[in-house]
Amino acid sequence: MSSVKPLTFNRREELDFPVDMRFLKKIVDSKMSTKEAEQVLMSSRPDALRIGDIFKVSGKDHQNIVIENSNVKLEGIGTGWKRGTIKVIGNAGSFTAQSLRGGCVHVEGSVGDFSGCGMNGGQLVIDADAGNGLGASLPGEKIGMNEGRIVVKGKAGSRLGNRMRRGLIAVCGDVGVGACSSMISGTVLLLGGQANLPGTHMRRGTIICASEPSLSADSFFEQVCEDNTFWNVFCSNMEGLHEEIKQTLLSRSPRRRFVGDLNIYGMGEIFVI
Amino acid sequence: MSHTSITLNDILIRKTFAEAFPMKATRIVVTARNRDWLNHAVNSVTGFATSVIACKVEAGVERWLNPSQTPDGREGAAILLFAMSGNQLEAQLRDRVGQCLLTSPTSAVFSGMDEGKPVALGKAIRYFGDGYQISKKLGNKRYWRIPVMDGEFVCEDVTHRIDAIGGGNFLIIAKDIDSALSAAESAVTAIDKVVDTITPFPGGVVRSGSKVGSKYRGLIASTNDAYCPTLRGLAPTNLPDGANAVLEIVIDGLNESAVGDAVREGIVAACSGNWSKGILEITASNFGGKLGPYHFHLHSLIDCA
Repeated sequence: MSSVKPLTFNRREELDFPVDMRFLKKIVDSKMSTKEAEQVLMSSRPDALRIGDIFKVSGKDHQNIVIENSNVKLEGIGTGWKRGTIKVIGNAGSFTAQSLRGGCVHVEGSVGDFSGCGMNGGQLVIDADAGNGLGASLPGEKIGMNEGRIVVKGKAGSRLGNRMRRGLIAVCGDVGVGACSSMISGTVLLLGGQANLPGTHMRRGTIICASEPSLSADSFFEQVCEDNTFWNVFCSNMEGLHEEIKQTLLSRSPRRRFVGDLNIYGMGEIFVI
Repeated sequence: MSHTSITLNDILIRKTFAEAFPMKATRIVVTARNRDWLNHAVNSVTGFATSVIACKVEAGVERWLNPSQTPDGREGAAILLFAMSGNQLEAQLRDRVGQCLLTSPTSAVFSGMDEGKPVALGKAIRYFGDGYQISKKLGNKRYWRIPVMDGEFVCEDVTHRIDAIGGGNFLIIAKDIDSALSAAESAVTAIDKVVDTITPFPGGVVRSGSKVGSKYRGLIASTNDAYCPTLRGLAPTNLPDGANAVLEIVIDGLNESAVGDAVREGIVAACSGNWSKGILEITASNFGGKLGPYHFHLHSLIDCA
């Protein structure tokens, strides 16, 4: 275990304005000292605050970041992060782990909207709930999450995994409407309550539901679900997933399989386990 | 021929060496619904794969796997395939997976090797799905699910190939065929336990050991006349008096130590049974060092036993 103290950002006081946390990558890439980091301006405005005005910075390990006393005003934590870990103690704001490329972002609370958008690798773990558009495409963009893994131990909002192209999203709790809409590919585990119209306009990809989803009969065709070979392969590749999710998967097998969305000649699949 | 020799259970071990040559090898894991269908798949994919001379690939079961050792939790087999070049190996793998495993009911195939140069597995035959194939990346591995008439053929995208060794061998010279067969069967059983090796010939045993070249133009190998009992008196012989049957064990392995271990274990097993009274000597086939750079000296191997 490393004896070097993680580079720690401790929020000094309550914030009534959003803080763009993308500076983290700049500090890590240029390996700034804590004093140098505290002098970094938060924006290009002449009256901009410095990091030291908001956070007390300590520690030296640039690959192991801790954000203490975090709240939803801290936006874009882990944006473009390539390696190492970021641990967020508290909640995190919108755009958390946006364009994450590697490493792990672990939020010990909830995250705001559009977290995990444009992810290209790495892992985002959320101990509580996620906002809308988790792993989805940003407004105006054609592709959502492109690689990596998102685990939500609580609930997730609407438009989860919209237009996602690759990777895996696992949600232990309930999800909002429009989950996996226009999904291009990838895998989504919905392990909470009934999902409302998941996979609308999905082209490819796999949705695994632990409860019977409400599906439009015109959109999906039910098939006989007999061959579990791939399911076994899938379950054996869940290393590193939250234990509760692993146990849920291992204790079940697909009961029903739907293919669609037939309205757009999609070849996606929804398993009910 | 040198007669400096040692004995094992009173069986003469010639002071000679087995000469082996470089090959390219890969490992795949085949699974199926039950042992019967696994056997069908394995027999098919390792069929006609005894010698690169005409089969272009040598293949065999390295070991049988229980459900906890396979990616899909079913019974499986680890299969090693050896060829003289990477391209030849890739072509053979593609054809054999496509014609023997894709066609075999309930089968699935996975990579058995994570290091080396990538070799297409599902990547090469996914097009059979005609656009309905599904790709799924799990962790660092990509799998293909190709729709077939019994469900899906699950196939990993790539496996890998490494440099390997082919042609490790030893010859069992016996008074009669019964003793030779018993010794050979015992040797193959022992070699089966050595990981990273296969014995690609039928039952692991060759009766038609070959020499390089022939009196006939265009034939690259012909019968090893020096070890044919029926040619004694007609051609120069290496057989001792009383020898009436010779069987050869050929071993391919992923590395030198595995082949050496297999040769040693095979010889020890061949000399350790109630058939040993019928065994006259153990020797090995070589071409004076011209065939390949790997030399397995029998005395050195037996000294390590």
